[in-house]
Amino acid sequence: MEVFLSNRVLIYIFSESVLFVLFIIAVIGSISIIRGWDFNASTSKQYALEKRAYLIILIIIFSLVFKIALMPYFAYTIDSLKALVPGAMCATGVLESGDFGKELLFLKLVILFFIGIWLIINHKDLQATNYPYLKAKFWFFIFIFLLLGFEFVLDIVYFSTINIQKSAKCCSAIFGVLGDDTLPFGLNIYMLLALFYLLFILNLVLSFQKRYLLLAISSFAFLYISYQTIIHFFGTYIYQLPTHRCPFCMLQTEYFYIGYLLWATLFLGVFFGISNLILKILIKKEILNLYRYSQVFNTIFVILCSLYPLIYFIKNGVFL
Amino acid sequence: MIEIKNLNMTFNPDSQKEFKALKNINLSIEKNNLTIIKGVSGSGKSTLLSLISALLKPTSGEIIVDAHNIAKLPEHHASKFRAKNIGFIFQSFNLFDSLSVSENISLALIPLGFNPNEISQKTQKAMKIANIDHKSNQNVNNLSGGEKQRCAIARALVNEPKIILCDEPTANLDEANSLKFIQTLKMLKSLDKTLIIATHDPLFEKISFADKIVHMKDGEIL
Amino acid sequence: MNNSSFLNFLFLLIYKHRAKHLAIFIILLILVALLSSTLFITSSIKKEVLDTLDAQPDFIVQKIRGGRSVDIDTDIVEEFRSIRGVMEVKPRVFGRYFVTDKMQYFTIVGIDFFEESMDKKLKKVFENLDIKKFLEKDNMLVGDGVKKFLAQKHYKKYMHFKTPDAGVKKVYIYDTFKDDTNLISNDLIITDIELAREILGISKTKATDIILNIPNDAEQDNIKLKLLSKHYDTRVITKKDIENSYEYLFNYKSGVFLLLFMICILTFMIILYQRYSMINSNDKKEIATLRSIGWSIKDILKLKVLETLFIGIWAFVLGVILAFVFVFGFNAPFLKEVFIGFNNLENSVTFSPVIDFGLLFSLFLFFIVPFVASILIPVWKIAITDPIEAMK
Repeated sequence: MEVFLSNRVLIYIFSESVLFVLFIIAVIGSISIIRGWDFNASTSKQYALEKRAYLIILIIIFSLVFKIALMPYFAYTIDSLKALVPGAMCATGVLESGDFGKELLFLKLVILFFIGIWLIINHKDLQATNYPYLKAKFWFFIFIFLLLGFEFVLDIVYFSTINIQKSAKCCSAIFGVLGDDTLPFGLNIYMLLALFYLLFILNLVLSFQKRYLLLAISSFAFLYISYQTIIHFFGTYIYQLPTHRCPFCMLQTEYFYIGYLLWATLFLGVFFGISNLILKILIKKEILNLYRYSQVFNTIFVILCSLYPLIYFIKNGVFL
Repeated sequence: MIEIKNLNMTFNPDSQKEFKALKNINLSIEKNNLTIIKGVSGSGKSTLLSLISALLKPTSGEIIVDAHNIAKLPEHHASKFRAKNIGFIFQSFNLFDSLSVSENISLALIPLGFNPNEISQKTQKAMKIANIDHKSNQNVNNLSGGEKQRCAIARALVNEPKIILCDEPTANLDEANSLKFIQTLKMLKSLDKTLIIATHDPLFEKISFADKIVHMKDGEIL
Repeated sequence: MNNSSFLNFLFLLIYKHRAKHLAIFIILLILVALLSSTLFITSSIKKEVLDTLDAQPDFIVQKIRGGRSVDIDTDIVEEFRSIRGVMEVKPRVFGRYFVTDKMQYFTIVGIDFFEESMDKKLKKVFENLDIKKFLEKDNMLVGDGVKKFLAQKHYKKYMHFKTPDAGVKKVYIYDTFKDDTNLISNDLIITDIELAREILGISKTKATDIILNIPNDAEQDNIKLKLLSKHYDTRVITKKDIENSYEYLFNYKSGVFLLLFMICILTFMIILYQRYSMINSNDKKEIATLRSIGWSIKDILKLKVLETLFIGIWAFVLGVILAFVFVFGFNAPFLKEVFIGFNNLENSVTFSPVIDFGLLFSLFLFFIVPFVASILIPVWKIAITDPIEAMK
């Protein structure tokens, strides 16, 4: 419980709480709008609902923007806790130390993803002259709200169970260098790399062909493989140490915060790759620009990753 | 150009303060016409203008401007329509006292997303037409009634609207300025604008270039 | 839309509504300045303390009797030296000397000047010292607070210490010394190790504690276990333990402050909400005019949000700058007492500037999130003003 007295954790929880109150207001408004909405009615009640919709959308947009800003702040807060948790050298150890740390992080990413989808649907809805997706988007927001509530609970549980008495495992133990050095599916490093680049090219091809379902599947695969490749290969070139396998240390100052850029571009590339599938399901429409964004971000991501081993090779003549 | 069909406007429906401002209005206004709507205060003239400019939503009925029904537009689309197509001149001018003439005028262009150069050019043009360019940097506070009117006219013109609406434009002017205003109307008509004037000023009875005169009483067209 | 005409209009509105904004601006400014000052002070102290800690030994071994630390036998030193992985072992002699019945004290540290000192900070203190001259008679180096205190009691050149065997020892003040910020050195007295033993009543075969340096971090846990298993009556305090407890202490102190501040912020949020919810007829007319010339509710929301955000952000920036100048320029009069404490000798501390962007961003989040949350509904209320009603 002492962890709560760390400044950053306090400020993080405080901000999350304020935002959660805003979300509650928004969801109450959403429910009232869904119940009473009838675009073709010319009653003053309908007009009042339209005005209320502006408030709800305003609240949601601001809260979501802050939510996005709180994501790197969460990473930063966890990183700063490594001084309190014995044995933790970076955020990885701290995440392991509390209950549901990794689940919480995963949930946050999922929420960010759905936030992005919501913003796209909202934009489309406002472009049209008859609010075609209004009910869909508010129902969708109610779904997101449930996730947000769950996240808030997990936040409290996680931070209150961080154990400052017990040693945390360090990334070497977690990502299996000292332990068993297994890559997923028993691949070796070359096959992993090959899979990485192949999936990237597959993503490009599918997005040019605008096949949203296959692209979504391929993007998921790319996400998973990229995650493994960064930890087991590219990360080692960022840290210039073959045994340092950690997804979080690259967020720190020593590495010029490159971690934020890498994970952000991967997230965005995968987000835009999957989004058209979700949009098709929710509002039966796809947006062509999103294919292009997915290509752009995926490409930036792959180039950034590849630069590290390349530069290392140019400087040193060998690979690690 | 403007078709109004079965337009009804009831304020505060289903309550004690219920007030039927417009009852089953049907009206047709041709392009480039000058239409005068006559009636005493409370006859529904201002309400009708507000509805045509999409500032208000009707209880029922259609308002079709250039084949678009603007009656049911969501507010952000309605505002866009108004910003692009409507110029409004009010009885009390509704200018911002603490701004200069040109600043007041350029306010109407801000929602349309023009860059500063374009704003400047259009503002100049409008001020010239309204004959107020020599007072461009003057604070509106220091203008006479007639000059304020001309500033309001310039603001109503700056977005190059198809339709100009005037709500009791001469109510706060003396006779000389009122006559000047009527001359301005002639000039505006020559600029291919569709003009609708709501007024009960008797000076308007003698206008020769009015295409239609509509009489309203208690929310109905007589 | 973000061009000079819009901005011009925005600034005009801000100026026009300045009466409404002024109170909020000032309150927020004060809140930000107060919290920022607090956090700047704690950051600065923390950095100073942790820096000092860096120069501390890896292990401190104490003998425990009845739960309290007692003098430890120095013959244990050889035994420690023989443990593999231990680089340096040294006995230390130091203690408190109480000078008033108000529990004020000096910290007396005995230094063996002929042995290399492990404490880098102390080493810096007497790099210019003529050791031979210092050891000619019973001399001491004193910190600022000690000097002031003695001067008040009219002891300008020497002091009489009462030794535990009921004797009196006259010790001359050789010189004063000061570390960078006066935090640690204030109540310190440095003497030769044997003199310290005399004053504190520690026999020649004993020491206050024994320090060890173990260069390889990985071996520390092992060695600690070895020590404890051999000597059941000792306690081993590691540098990491001290770091952790300081970290904990600082977190706790500033955490408590932050919690108090949260209550202030919540109150402020209510004030904000009410203030900006007060819409007078002039405001309504403004909005009505804008709506009628083509501004949408969205445009007006943008205008109003930017207007209030401008006030909020400026109050924040100026508050932080104010705090910075207050703490690092003027050394935070009045506020620093809360942190340094009146408990021991009077202290004139200087804070060395610490610019931590993480801290600044944390402050920003802490103020701006509730600020924006409070203004959203009031701003919306203004923006949806019915233009027809307002123009009548």
